[in-house]
Amino acid sequence: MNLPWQRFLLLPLVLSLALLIASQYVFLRGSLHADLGVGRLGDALTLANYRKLFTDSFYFDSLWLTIKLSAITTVATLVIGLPVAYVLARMRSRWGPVLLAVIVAASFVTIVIKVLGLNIIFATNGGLNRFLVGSGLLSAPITLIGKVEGVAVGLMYFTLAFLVILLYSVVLTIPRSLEDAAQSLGASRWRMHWRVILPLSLPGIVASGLIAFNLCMGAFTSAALIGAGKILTLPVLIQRTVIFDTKYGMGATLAVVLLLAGLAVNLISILVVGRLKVARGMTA
Amino acid sequence: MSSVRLAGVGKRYGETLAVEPLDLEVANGEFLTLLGPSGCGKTTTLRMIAGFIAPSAGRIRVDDDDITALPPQKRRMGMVFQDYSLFPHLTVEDNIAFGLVERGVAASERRMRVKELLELIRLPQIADRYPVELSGGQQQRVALARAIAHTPRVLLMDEPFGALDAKLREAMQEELRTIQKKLRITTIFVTHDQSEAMHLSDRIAVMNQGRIEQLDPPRRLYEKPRTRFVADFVGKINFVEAVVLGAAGDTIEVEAAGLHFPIRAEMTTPVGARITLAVRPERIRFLARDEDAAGWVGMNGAVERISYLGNVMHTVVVTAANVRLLVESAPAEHASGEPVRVGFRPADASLIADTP
Repeated sequence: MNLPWQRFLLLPLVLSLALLIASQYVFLRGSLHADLGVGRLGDALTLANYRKLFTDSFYFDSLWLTIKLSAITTVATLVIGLPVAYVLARMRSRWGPVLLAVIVAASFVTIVIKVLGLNIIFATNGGLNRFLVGSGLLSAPITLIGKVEGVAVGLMYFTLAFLVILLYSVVLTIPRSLEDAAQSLGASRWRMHWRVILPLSLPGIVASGLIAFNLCMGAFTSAALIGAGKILTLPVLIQRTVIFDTKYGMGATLAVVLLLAGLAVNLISILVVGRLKVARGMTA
Repeated sequence: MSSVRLAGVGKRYGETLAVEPLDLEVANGEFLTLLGPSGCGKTTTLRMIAGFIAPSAGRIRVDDDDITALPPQKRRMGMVFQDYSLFPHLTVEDNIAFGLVERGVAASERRMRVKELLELIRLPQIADRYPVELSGGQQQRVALARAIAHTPRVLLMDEPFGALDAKLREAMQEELRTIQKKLRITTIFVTHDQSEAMHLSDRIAVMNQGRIEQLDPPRRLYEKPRTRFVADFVGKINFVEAVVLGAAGDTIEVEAAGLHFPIRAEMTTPVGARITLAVRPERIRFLARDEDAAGWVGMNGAVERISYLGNVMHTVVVTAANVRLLVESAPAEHASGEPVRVGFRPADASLIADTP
C-alpha cells in the first residue's frame, strides 16, 4: 500500500483542510468583534453579537424560521420523493433508466431557471391561476413571491431531484425477494412497505433527508428570489447584514450559528438513527 | 393440508411462451418436484402457484377454491426462496412470527408457536439472533420455519438448497424430508438437481422448454424414461440407434448395435421405424469371453477409456458395431484397448420413440 504517488494526495488534502479551516476561522474570529459601523470592527473580543442574536427576536426568528422551513421542506420532499424513487427502482421497463436520467439532468438545471419556471407557472394571470380561479376552486390567484409557502416550494423543487436519486439507490439495496417473502407470509402491499421496505430503508432515508436539510439550510438563491426580501432565512439575512448593513461581525456570527445549528441537527439525527440501528441489530 | 390442481395453466410473455398450458395435480400431503434445466419454466410455474406471476391461461385450484385471481398474501401458502430472503432487520423470532402477526395471532401464542418451530428445526437457542449472525444452513432452516409457521395449505420451495455446499445440502434434504413427512404438508419443490429431486420426491415432473415431459415417481422416471430429454437429464444413459423389425403384443423386436432381440415396451411403432434404445450404464455388465447367458444381449468390443470414481468405475467400450457404451461397474482391472465383452438384459433397457 506504500505507493509513492499516495504522498501527492497529501497536498490537496492539506489545501482543502486549510481552506475549510481558514474560512471558518475568519468567520469565527469576526463574530467575536463588535460592529462599529461602516464595516469597522472593534478590537476587543466580545460575545455581544451572540447575545444580541439570541435576545433580539429579529435574529432569533430568522434562525428558527430557517430550521423549521428546512425541516418541513425536507419531510415534504421525502414524502414526494420516496414513492417516486421506489417506483423507479422497481421498474422493469427500459424507461426506468431514461426517467432517472431525466431527473439527473433536471438536478443540473440551476435554481435560478427553476425559480423562473415557478414564477411563470404561478403568475397571477398565468394558465394555472386562471384555471383555478376561473373554475371557482379558488377565489384569488395563488402567488408564491414573498410567501413562506413559496420559498418552501422553491426549496422542494431544488432538493427533490437529489433526494430521488439518493433514495433510488437506497431502494435498490433492498432485494425484491424480501417483498415476495412478506407477501407470501400474508402481508398486503401496504403492510409489506410498512414492515419491510420502510425499516430497511430508514438509515438511507435519514441520510438522504439530512443532505436535503443541509441544502435547504444553506439555500440562498431560492429563498432570496422567491422570498423577495420578505422571507428572511439565515442565508438571506447574512447576505443583507454583510452587503447592505456592512455589519461584518454580526454577519459572521449568523454564519457561525447557521453552521453550528446545521451540525447539531445532523449529529442528533445520526445519533438517533445509530441508536435505532443498534437496537435492531443492524450493525453488520 | 391440501391438494393443488393446475388446469391448462400457461404463461406467455409477448411472443415467447414461458410455460405451455399444462395440467398438474398434486395430492394432499404429496411431495412433488418440478425438475429441469434453467429456463425450462419450473420457477415460472411455481411463482404462478404462489401468485407472484399471473398466468396467461388456465385455472389454479387449492382443494376446491379457485385461487387464480387471488394476490399472494391471500393464498395461504408458505414459500422458501433460493436466497432465504430472511428479513435482515428482524430477529429469528420476529422473522418466524412475521406471518403470524399478519394473521393477528396473539403475542403469547406467537411466542409458543415460534418456540415449537425452533425445536422442529432443532435450533432452539437462536430466537434472539439476527439473520446475519446465522450460517447458511441455519438461515435455510429458519426460512423453512417461517414458511410453515402460519400452517399454510401448501409449501412452495424454489431451489432452497442451491447455495449450500454438498454435505450440508444432503443433511438439509434429510431434514426437510423428515419435517415434510411429519407435518404431511403438500409440498411443491423446484430444483435443477436430479439427485436432489430423486432423494426427496414422491413424484417428479421433468420440465423442458415450458412443457412437462414426464410426471412419474422417481424410480419409474429413472427406469422407464419416456423421452430422450428425460433419460438424459435424469442420471447417465446410453442411447443406441435401433430399428423396429416387428411387433407382437407388448413385445417389439428390434435391431440395435448389430444385434436382434425382443424387448417389452408400452408403445406402438410401425415396422421399420427408427427409434432409440436407452440403457443405463450400471445395467451393462462385463461378460466372460463368448458368454451368452439366457436373457442377456452380449457384444464384443474394446475398452476406449477408463475413469476411476472410487466406489465405481466408468469404462467407455466401443463395440464391434462401432457403438460407444458407457459402463458403470465395480472397480475392475481393465486396460485401455483391452478386448472385452459387455451385455445387458433387454428388460433393463427402454425404448424411446423419438429418433436421435
